[in-house]
Amino acid sequence: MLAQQLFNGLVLGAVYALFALGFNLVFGVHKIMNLAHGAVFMIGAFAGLYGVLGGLPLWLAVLVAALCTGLLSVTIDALAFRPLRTSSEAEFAVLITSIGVDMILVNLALRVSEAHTMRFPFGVVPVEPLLVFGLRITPLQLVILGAALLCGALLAWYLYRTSFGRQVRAVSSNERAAMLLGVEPRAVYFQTFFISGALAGIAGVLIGLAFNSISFSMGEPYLLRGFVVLIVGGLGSLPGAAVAGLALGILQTLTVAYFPSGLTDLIVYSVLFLMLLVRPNGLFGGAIADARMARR
Amino acid sequence: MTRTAKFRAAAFAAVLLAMTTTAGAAEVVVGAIAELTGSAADFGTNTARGLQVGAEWLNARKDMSGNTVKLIVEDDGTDKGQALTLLNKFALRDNAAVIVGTSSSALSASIAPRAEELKVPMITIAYSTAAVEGRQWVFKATDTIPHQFQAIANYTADVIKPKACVRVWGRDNEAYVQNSKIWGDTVTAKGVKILDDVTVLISDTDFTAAATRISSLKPDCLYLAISPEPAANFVLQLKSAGLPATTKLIGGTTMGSRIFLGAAGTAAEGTYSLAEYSPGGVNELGKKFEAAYQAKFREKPDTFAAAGFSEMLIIGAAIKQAGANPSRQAIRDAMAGLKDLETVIGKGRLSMVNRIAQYDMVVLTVKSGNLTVAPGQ
Repeated sequence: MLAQQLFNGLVLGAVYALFALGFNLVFGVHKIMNLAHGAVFMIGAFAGLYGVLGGLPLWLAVLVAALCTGLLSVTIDALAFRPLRTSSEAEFAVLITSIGVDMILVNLALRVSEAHTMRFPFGVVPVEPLLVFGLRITPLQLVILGAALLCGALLAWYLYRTSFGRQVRAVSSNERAAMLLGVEPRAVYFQTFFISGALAGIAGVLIGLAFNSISFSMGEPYLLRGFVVLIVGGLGSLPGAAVAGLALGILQTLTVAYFPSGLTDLIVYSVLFLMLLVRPNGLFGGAIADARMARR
Repeated sequence: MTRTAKFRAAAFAAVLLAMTTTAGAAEVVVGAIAELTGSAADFGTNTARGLQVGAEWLNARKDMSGNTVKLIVEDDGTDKGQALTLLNKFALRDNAAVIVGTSSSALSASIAPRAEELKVPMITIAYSTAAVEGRQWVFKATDTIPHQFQAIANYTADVIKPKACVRVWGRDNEAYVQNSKIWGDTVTAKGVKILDDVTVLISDTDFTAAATRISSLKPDCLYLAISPEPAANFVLQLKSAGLPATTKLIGGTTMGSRIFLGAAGTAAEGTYSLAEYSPGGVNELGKKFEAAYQAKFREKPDTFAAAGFSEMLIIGAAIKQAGANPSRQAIRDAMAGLKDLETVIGKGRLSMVNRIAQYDMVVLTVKSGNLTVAPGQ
């Protein structure tokens, strides 16, 4: 059972990592704690579902969902966050605004779905598991792992191998200096919010498929887990988000597998607390924290 | 007296008699607090539909001592505050003689004190008895969990006869905690071993780890005490995790709901559930109810709809006994004394015992996608 549970944890962790990458991207570049990220994730799941119900093949529905949530995320930035960027308490103001955006999106989804829990039609993804070295692996689990790896790799390539990525990293380091060097911050904001939203949307569709449940409230538990990943991995660290996401998935799964189920949250948040005591900047957060201090 | 005069006298007497019986007859307001949205919308919506069919049924039969029923249904959004607001509104503004509410154990328990304070009869289908305990004005239209779940526990031990089972329940819902304990205690007393206990939150969706844990034990049976949606999800994930096909899946009333069947699909085949309502009706009244429900809502009723209809039958019988233009006290007293009332739930007859409806439950199984009465009862 241990090997099977480790694999289960890896799959769950892959989704957490995918969710947290987008969450952390915005925080890392723009220092914005976007609490509407969970709602964007939820909208992605609905977008994917309606795409499939509308007759699109799954792969196209996922792309459409990513596009929808990417544009949604950009819109949220334009309407809710951008007007606050010049205020003296921008970080706090954006945090509060993002809560409001989250509530609006959740309530809209509640109205549209009439509080029903929806699901993808049976047969959208083959369910018959494969037996590989004694492990039961469903095709969907392979898709989730593959999607997480692909998105992570594409994000890394984008950030470290393209001129756009250089601009993003420049803005992350020092926005004013980047502007003086000719970088257009609006373009950077557009790209980071779009990518963040798209990643959340893909994660939403995958979770909706994996756990057979899409509802207006599905984003909240993942946002809480996203926080844990953000803290444990290190604020603003994308490698940290990936590693911490996977670790959290495995920890959570093994806890359910070997301990009384009611202790899962207790153990997960205790680990978070211990991490904060031992490494306050998270696993990979040291350099980022220093940079923030230097900027101040 | 001439023939014409005699005829006129007889007619006048008949009119007088009719007027006497309807003199003071009233439109009795029944306020229903229903979960039409929110986390309990699955139960609440169908319960409300059953109430509506019940109100129409009662008014059409005209058998309530000349009274009629005016049913008002409003949404509490599965929110305690909203439920309380509605109770106050029905009782104080609309002068409701009876309050129906709610389908949720937690919400019913939270508003019951106010109903007691206002001395307005309140009836609920909530599973937990918390709303009723220690009160005189609150009634429960569904049997107690111990009495109800004894049926499925006895069926498990006496008919299915597993050697070892696993129990799963929603730890954040008192009714599920209670019914899983009753089931466990009963089957254990009859020699069944409980291999593992797994608890989940009703809002959980990821049961992969728990499903793998349970499947590795290869139990003869699995008892599930959670809401229909997560129950269906759990069953699907169990199948995916390799739960043996021989493992019997057993649940309470939620696994007999249409929502569970729709969400679980073919994975629901062969599952056992406890039912207050047998599809197709257990008696003539049940058959008529099903036809009326289907005509109005174009779908078959489930156990919650039947419970709602049964609530209205209880209210109607109490109004009839209470007489024309009944007071809240009269309705309350009549409701408390109801015996052997024909109903559509259980095996067709219920009696009020300490303000709680008592009746015999039925165990159902899914065969070819449909709920049927399980064999061996």
